[in-house]
Amino acid sequence: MNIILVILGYLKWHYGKAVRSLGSVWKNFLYFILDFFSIQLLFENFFDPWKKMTDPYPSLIEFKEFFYILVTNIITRIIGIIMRTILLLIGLVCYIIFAILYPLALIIWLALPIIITVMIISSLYLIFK
Amino acid sequence: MTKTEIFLKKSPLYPVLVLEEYFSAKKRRVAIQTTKYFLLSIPLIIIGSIIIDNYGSFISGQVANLLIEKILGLAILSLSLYIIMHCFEAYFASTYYFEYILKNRYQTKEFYTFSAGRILRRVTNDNVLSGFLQSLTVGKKIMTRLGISPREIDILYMKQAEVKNPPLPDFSGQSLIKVATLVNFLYRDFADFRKLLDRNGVNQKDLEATVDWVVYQIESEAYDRQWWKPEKLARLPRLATDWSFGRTYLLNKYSRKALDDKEVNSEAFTLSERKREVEQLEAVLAKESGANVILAGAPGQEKMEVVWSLCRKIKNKTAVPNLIGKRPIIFQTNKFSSMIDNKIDFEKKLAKTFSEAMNAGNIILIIDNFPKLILQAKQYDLKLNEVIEPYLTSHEDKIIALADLEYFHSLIENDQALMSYFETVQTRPLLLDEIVKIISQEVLVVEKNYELIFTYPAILELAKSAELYFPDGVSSDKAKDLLAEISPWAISNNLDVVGKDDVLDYVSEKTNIPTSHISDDEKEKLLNLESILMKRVVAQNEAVFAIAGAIRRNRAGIRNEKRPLGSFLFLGPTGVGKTETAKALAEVFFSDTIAKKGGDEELLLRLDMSEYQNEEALARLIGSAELGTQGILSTMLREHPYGVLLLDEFEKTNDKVLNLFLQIIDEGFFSDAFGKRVVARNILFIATSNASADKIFEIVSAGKELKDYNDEIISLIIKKGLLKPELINRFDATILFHPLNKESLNQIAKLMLQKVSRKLEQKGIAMTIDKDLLNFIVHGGYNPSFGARPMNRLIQNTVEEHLADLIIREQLGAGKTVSFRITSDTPEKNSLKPIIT
Repeated sequence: MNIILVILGYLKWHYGKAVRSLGSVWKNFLYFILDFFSIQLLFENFFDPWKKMTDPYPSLIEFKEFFYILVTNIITRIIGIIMRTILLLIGLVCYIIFAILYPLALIIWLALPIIITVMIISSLYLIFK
Repeated sequence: MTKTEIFLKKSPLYPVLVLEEYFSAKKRRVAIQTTKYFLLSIPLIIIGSIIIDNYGSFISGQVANLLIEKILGLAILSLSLYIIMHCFEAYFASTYYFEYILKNRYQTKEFYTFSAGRILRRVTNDNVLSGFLQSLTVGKKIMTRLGISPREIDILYMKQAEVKNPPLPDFSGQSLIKVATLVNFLYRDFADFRKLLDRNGVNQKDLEATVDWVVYQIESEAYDRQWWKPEKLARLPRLATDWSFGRTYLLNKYSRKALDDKEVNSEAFTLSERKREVEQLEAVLAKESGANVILAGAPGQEKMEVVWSLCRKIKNKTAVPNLIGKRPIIFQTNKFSSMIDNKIDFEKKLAKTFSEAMNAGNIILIIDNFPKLILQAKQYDLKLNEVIEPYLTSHEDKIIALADLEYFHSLIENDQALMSYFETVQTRPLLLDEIVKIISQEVLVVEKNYELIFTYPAILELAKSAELYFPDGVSSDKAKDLLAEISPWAISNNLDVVGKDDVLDYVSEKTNIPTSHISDDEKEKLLNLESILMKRVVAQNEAVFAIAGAIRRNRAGIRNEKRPLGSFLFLGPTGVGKTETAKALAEVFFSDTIAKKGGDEELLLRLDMSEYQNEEALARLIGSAELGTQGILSTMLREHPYGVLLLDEFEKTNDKVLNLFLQIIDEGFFSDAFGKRVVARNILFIATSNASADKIFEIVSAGKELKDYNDEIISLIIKKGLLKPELINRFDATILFHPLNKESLNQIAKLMLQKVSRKLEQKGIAMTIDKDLLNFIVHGGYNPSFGARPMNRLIQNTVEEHLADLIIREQLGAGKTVSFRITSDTPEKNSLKPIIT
């Protein structure tokens, strides 16, 4: 009697609250990926020099020096842009993969009681045949 | 079906409770572990069998296939079990909505919380108490934490079988039944339960606090496992956070990352008690510019606790938006100072370090021990604010400078130039309840390391003792230290459970202050305190009775622990035994304690208050921040945290000092000039005064009873403006000392002579004290306005002088007896003549 109660209670949870929770956990993960790859920060500081490595400019009279610093400052910015682009791409790919996985996971979750039953029966068959 | 069962079944949580009976949390964890290991070993088995299949000829192909099939079958089976166990785990996890950690997630249709359900599920015959005592996970834990022995729990449980109609809870008005609801019902309606707790010294407040603590512990363990919660994910590190910020080569040398401190990451340090200070810090730091703050507090961990709480908020991303993503770095002043040895280095490196911190753009610079930096700058004839000024006014700066209160008052507060850059946040000392909360969380960590269990009363006592018996330092730090020390002690004494008495024993062992058990010896002393004191103090019974009562109240544990051990105002003429009473008391009560400590301490602390009359008196007593001098009183009480403090001629000191004592007697502590707390709760204060001695003489010589004039004498003192009424009222008792009559003087003379005689005895010399000798001393030594004091002088000048003379001349030695005869040289003047036999 109790066993039936437990199974019914579980199934009610599995197809009710758990499905809702799965959605919210998924949202947590997606938010986490954005956060983990610092996506917002990367966009905000996209054109910033790499690790603030810039030198102050001298007056325009020292043209050679000025030009030299201009070039190095541009280079550090370019390095920054390249690095950020790479990380942004990786982050966005992860985000998309995770987003796509959600329906798949949901289907597996919904079918899980059946999958488990099948797995147990087939394993018992393999062991005892 | 019983009423409890019907109630239980109404909730959707019921199937989970039933499931727990088959698969307890422990079993589930074992199953998950076992299946996991089996699953992990399967690839190895498969690889092994492939090798055997290819290269081994000793197993035929058919057998090998069969083997692989079986292994595959087992693998699929354990995989399914593994998944099922995880599903169950998730099922359980989603029913913990937490009645303590995250409140109010339960819905009305659930009727009870999960922890309460665990108790109700164990109920038999509708007896809630039986369910409580049988539930291992909740009820029994609570009882153990209350310090109730397993035997007592069993007896109470057995008794429940005999209860015919147990009281039924009425939950109709309640929207949700929590553990606290059940326990309060038990305490109210089950007399046996209440009696058991009473016997163990547990009151309702302790019970409720213990329930909160145990439930918190159960829930925090479950909460720890829920890694998928957004607040848990938020704590994981992020990539690329420093790509847009500058590097800090030099700063790294002198600093450490605050976010890596274990206190920031450990669940045991939630420290909600520091909320107010953290919010003040956040408010200043969130500003666009000039976000510099001095965090001043008592020496010790208090200030860091606030910093850690802030770091925690930053890490959890619950801080104000301006601070999220910032990097709190602790600049270790001590490390910096030790690596710098000249002025140029100091100036250059400090400026560079600050410039790096500011240029980085995302740093909150926490300067540990800020006063030391100021002092080092001074040493090099520099002003710190001038060295770091450019950084203090920049837009990027966010600085938290930590300073001990003592130095904050003496070095920083008055420096207008420096203060113009900073705002101040001051930490407040924690209340006892808050310290208990912190300690009860730390205990959980300690318990894991030492395999010990602390009861709630033990933790309460630990927090109380830290405050009461260790006068120096911050209470929360002292309590933590005490906890750290007591654990190895408990292990070496083979304790499994540390209870209240164990804490008291340890404190007593460490401080030598009698705390818990009253020994037979001491019992004897306490019960006969009056007669012991009366042997030394003659004819002052009222004083002796009042003091003996106070001492007994204290040792029986019913004193007010927030006030000194006792405080008495002794009024009476000079030389009638006021000082002697104080001395006798110190010797009787504290001599054992002092002997245990090596016996080299003063038994009686003494201040002649007539020396504290001028304007500087207060500064001399509590120290002066401007001059950097320590106070006499604060030093005295720090060095001798317990004993008798005699305040001679109390009324002669000035008003400021009297107000200081008003506070000490009222609250048992004061703050010295540096803002440091000095505790005087183990001190017996005796203030003496011979104000209105004339009135006392007058009353006594008129043959009236002195005790009938108590109020009149006190009003006279108030009228004369010698002491304020509020101060007199603060004393535990005002005691009047009689002028001494002839008979008393005789007794005192005898006591004084016996003292001399005892000294002689050590040399093997006997001394006869006869009536004539006594009369000689009393007649020659009595002076109405000085009481018995002149007798002491007379004994010194006559008896002792004669004896000294004889001993030096070697006329008096071991085996001989000396007596004195009175000879009258002139009719007015008698003298003594020693006779040796």
